[in-house]
Amino acid sequence: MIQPIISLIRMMHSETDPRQISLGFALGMVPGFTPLTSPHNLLVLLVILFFRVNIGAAMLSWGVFKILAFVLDPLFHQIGLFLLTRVGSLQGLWTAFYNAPLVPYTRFNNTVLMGSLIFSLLAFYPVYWGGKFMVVKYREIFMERFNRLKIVQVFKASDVYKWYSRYSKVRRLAG
Amino acid sequence: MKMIRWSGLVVFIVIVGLITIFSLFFLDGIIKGIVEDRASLAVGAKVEIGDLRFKIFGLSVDIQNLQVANPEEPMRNSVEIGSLAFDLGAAPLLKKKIVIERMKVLDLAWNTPRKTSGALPLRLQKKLEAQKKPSDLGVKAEKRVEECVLPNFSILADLKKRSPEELLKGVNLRSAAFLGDYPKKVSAAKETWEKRLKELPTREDIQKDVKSFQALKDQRPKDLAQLPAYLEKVNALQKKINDTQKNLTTAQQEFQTEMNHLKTSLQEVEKLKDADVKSVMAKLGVQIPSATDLICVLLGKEVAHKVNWALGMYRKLSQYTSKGKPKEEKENPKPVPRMKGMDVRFPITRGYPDFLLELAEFSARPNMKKASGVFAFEKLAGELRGLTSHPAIYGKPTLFRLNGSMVGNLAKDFALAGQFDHRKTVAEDRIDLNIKELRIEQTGTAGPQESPLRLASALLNVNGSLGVKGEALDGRVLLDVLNPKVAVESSAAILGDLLKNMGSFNLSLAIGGTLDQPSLGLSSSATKPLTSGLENLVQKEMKGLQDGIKNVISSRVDKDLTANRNEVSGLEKLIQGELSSRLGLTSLPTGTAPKGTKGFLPGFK
Repeated sequence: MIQPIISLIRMMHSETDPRQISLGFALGMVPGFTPLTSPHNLLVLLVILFFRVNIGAAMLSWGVFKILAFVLDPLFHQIGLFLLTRVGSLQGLWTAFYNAPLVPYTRFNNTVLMGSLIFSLLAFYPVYWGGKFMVVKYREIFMERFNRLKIVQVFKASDVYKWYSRYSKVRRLAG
Repeated sequence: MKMIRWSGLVVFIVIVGLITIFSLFFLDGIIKGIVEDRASLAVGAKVEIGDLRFKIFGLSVDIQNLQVANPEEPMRNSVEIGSLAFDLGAAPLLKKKIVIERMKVLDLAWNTPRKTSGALPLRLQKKLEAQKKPSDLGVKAEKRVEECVLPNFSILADLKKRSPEELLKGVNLRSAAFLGDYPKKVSAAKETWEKRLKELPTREDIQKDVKSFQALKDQRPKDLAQLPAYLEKVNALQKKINDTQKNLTTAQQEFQTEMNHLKTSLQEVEKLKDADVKSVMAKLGVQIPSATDLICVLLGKEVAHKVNWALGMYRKLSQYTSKGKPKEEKENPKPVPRMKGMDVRFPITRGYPDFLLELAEFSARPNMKKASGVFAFEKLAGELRGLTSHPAIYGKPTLFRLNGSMVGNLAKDFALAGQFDHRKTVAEDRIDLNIKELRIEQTGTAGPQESPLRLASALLNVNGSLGVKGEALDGRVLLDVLNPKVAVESSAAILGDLLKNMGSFNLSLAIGGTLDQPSLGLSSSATKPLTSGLENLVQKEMKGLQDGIKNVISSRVDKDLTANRNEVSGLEKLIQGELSSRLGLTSLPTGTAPKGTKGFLPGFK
C-alpha cells in the first residue's frame, strides 16, 4: 500500500503524463464507489493493469472513494431505486436483462450497485479532468515549495529514503 | 508513450486464476457456510451440515448429515437428514435460477438427540431479531383451548377444615351493605311523605268544607233570581272538595307505588345473598370445572398445541412460495441494510422460476428404535412435487404425500398429503392427515408444570384436514379415543373416580379464523357423561361448604331484613292510614238535592 503511494508522489514529481495519474485516479473511483465484489470491477482491474495508468493513483482513489461511498450510500440507493423502478422506459430493458443468461450475475438489479455505478460513470470524466488539472497545477505551483520543505529535505536525507531509492533502482533494472 | 502494459495483463490473469483456484478449493466450505446461515435464519433454529460436496462440472450437490435443531429444545433436532443429493439444471443456472429436477432425501428422522447445543449463535440471533416482523411473533389460536387449566382441588380439602364463620371473616357482604343503607331510604321516604301530608288539605280543612257544603245545601234560595248565584257557590265548593279528593287519591297512589318500590328492592336482598355466596366461593379459589375443561386438559390442549405448531410451520413455509402474480406485475422489493441496497425483482417473462424443485423423494431412517418422545418410523416414503418460488410461472400446484407406519407398532398407518396452490392471488392450500391406531403410552408422573390429568394410554384414530383459502382457515381434527386410561395426579385426585372408568369417546377440534388470528373450537362426545358426573361430584364435595356459607350470611342479614320490612310496613300503615282517613272525610252526602233543582244541580245527585 505504501509503495504505490510513494510511487504516486514520485510520479507527481516526475515527468509522467498527468493523464496517466488522473486516469488511474478516475478508474480507482469505480471500485471505490461500487461494491468491491461486483463483477464489473474485474473489468476495471483489467483496464488498470493492462493500460499504462498509475496504479498508485488508482489505489489511493479506491481508498478515498470507499470512505466517501459510505456517506453517499443512501444517495446511491435512491438513484438505483429510481432507475430500476421509476423510469418506465427502462423497465423493458431491465426485464430483458433479468431474463437473459449471465446478466443477472452482474447484480444490476441491486439498487446500491446500480446507483453507485451510474454515479461513478457520470463522475468519471469530471474526476479525470479535475485530477489532471490538479496534477498540472501541483507541478506548477506546489512542487518547488514541497521540495523546499525542511521535513521533505530531512526525509530525503534519511536512510529510509536512500534505502528505498536503491531498492527502486534495483527493481527498475530487474524489470 | 506506450499505452499497453503487457505485464499488467499477466498480473490480471494471475489474480483471476488465484481467485478461481481459491474458489474451487474452498467452494464447498463457502456454500456450506452460506446454506447453514441462510437455512438457520429461515428456520429460526441452528441448521448444521456434516459434509457438503459440490461438483462444479456435474453441477451436483451431495449433503451428508443435515441437522435442524429444535428451537424450543436445543439439545434435540427437529429433523435429521442422513443424505440429501440433487443435480442442478445447467441452462437455468446461466440465468441465476436454481432448478432441481430430482432430489433424494434419505435417512429422515425426527426429534433425535444432539451432541452439542442447537441454540442459534449470537450473530444469527441478532439477524433473526432484525428480520422478525410483528406478525411472526407467534401464531396463537384461541386462548381458551390452549390455556385451559384445572382448578386447584387441594384447596377444597383445606377449606373443609375451616368453619364458614372463619371463611367469612373480614368479607364485605353486599347484602349487608344494602340493608345497612336501606333505613336511610325509608327515612327519606318518611320525611318526603310527612312533608307532602302537610301540603295536602288537613282533616280540619276537609271537615270544614264538607260542613260548609252541608250548610249551603240546607240554605236553598226561595227566590229563583238568587238561584244562579247560589248554584255558583255550591259548584265552587263542590269542585274544591272534589279536587281535594282527587289530590288525596293521587297521593295515595304515588305513595303506594313508592312503597312497592321499597318492598321490591328489599326482595333484591335474596339475590345479593346468592351473589355474596358466589363471590366468597370465588375468592376462596374454589372453581367448578366444566366437562369441556376436563377434556381440554386431558387431550384438547395437546391437540391445540400441535395444531398451532402446524399452523406456524405452514406460515413459515408459505413465506417461501409467493402468491401468484400476473407476469407483468413486479414484486415489491424488501428493505435491506445500508451498503447492501436491495435487489429489485423483475417479472420472469420466460423460462424457469427463480427456484424450482421438481421432484423430491423421501425415505425415513431404517431400523429406528422406539424411544420416548421420538417420532420414529418403521417405514416411510413420500414425495414432494413442484416446490417453487413462482407458482404462477411454473403453472402447477405443489403436491406432497408421505405414507408409512411407526416403529414398534406405535401407529399402524400414517398418511400425510396435501397441495399448495399459489398460482392465483388467493392461495388455496389443503393438508390431510390420517393416522390409524396411534398407540399412546405415557409412563411416569407429570412434572410440576404439566397437567394433573394425562391420557396414560389409549388408541387413537386421527383424521385431520386443513384448508386455507387466502388468509381464511377451515379445518377439523377428529380423534377417536379408544380404551382410554387416564392418569390423575394427586392434585386432582377428586376426579379419580369420575375418570377411572371413562369409556371410548371422540374429540373434535374445529379450526377457523385467519392465519393471523386462528380460532379453535373444542367438542367431545364425552362432555355429556362427564357433565352429569361432575355435577354429582360438586354436589357431594362442595355443597356442604356452600350451604354453610349461605347460612352464615343469612344469619347475619336476616335480622336486619326483618327490621327493615317492619320499618316499611310501619311507614305504609302510618301514611296510608292518614291518607285514607282524609279521603274518607271527602265523601259527600248523596240523595239530598234541594227541591226544584233535580236534573241540573250536579252536586245533589
